[in-house]
Amino acid sequence: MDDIKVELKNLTKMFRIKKNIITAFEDISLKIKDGEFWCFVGPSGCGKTTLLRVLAGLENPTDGTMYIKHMNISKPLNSMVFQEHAIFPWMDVKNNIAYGLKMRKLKPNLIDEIVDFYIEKMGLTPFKNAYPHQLSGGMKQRVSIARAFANDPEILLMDEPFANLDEQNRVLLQQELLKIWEESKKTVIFVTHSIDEAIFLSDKIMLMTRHPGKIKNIYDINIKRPRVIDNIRSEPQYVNIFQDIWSNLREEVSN
Amino acid sequence: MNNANILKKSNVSIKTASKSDKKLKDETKSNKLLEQIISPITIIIIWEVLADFNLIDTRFFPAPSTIFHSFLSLLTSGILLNDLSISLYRIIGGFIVGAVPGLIIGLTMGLFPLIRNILDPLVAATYPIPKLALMPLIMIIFGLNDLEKIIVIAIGTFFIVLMNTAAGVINLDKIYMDVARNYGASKKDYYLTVALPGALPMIFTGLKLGMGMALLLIVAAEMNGASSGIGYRIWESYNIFDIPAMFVSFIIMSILGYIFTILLDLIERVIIPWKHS
Repeated sequence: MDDIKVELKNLTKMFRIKKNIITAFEDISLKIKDGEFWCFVGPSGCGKTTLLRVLAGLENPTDGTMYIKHMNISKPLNSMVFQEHAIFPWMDVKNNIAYGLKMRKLKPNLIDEIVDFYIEKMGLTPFKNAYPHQLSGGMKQRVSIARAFANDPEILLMDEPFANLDEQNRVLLQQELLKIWEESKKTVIFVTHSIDEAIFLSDKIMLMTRHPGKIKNIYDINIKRPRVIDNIRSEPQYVNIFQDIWSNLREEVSN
Repeated sequence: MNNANILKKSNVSIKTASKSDKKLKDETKSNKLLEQIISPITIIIIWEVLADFNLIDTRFFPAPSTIFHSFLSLLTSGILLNDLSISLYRIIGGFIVGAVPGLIIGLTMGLFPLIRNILDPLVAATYPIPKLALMPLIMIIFGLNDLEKIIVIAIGTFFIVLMNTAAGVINLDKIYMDVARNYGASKKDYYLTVALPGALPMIFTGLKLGMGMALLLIVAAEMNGASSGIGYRIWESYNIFDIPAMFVSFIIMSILGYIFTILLDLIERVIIPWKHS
């Protein structure tokens, strides 16, 4: 049990909206090991984003237990990558990426070093001093990812980060994400609608039922790494897993 | 056709292509300037012609040439500049006296729900009272002087700046708060690095609207208990039926409004370089 990073037991979240009580998700139990890449997949409204927010500490669970192992107190436990419009419009690329580091009051020299490193890693060097409104959607998401990685958290939480991008940018960023992740060995929890994306990226996929979300199934993706987008779909496992997930997902979506 | 001719011909055709490209660019540039000047000039010309041929009642719509003469005499007698400086003093004074509290209270209301809930009813109750209706009370309290006029303008500016400032903070996308929390920002950090910069565009909108309100109110404020000022000049011209002088004042006010807008736009571009142009 030593390498368990996140353990959820019967985790449940309910909201009160006006006079009604809405259950976002219920009875979620799973174990995530350190360094694993997990995807949460499910139909719209199944609560996967809410689950991510509870994991991030932005919401409190209503019931159940959530255990997250914080190995190094000097590093942040988790950093979230939100969707495209979450980088600050009033800061340039450099300052956006530095945000977590500045909030932790690190030394300016160290901050500059780390920021420059990730700017280079994400191919943002010519845009270092640009403002978000001057950037394309793909560029903005690169900034968002750089900001999270620069903060050096133990867990990376990603909320459909590529949902608003065109196909080409999506594919490029998926590859870049894997590359930068493989060097860092962080635990990742990635929420997505796309089965294809989930299979390409993850070690394990948690498929949720439709609202209120429960676990429908957990899949092991044993495709060898490093994975390449060019031939992922010709992997023998790919088709089977895709069919399996899709038939289950379709059940949830069509009812 | 020998080779030299063919070469020459192709050279000529390349040159021609770039020449017409440049011509197109120049034409577009000078066209725009021309188009922008053409309508005011045309209006002035038509107006002058109509006035000279008595096709419009020049008692109420004096010819541009008459207005210009009035302008010159007001200028050379020093009256115009005196009016302008006195009114500017009241406008800018009123704007600052109104905008500063508006900004401070607006920010606190935006950032602290408790304060917002307490003050909201007060604002909602006092804002709808027309400032002009309050003028007699203000005149009694402060007397008939510059301070009273500054107060009148300040009250008008205050509400507009307050409401836009508070809205700027409140309407900030909630996701920025999530980002701030997730990346370890303290409350103070949040106010300084997220709430304040994020609210700036709406704050500037409030300032521009507030300035417009100040210009509006100067005419009302200088209606009573004034002996000089652009607004005063309008009412005085009414009293002595000097319509050309009245028009001069209208034009001065219009130019003032234009200049203030340009100034605020410039300041905005410096303070908010990140806003979409």
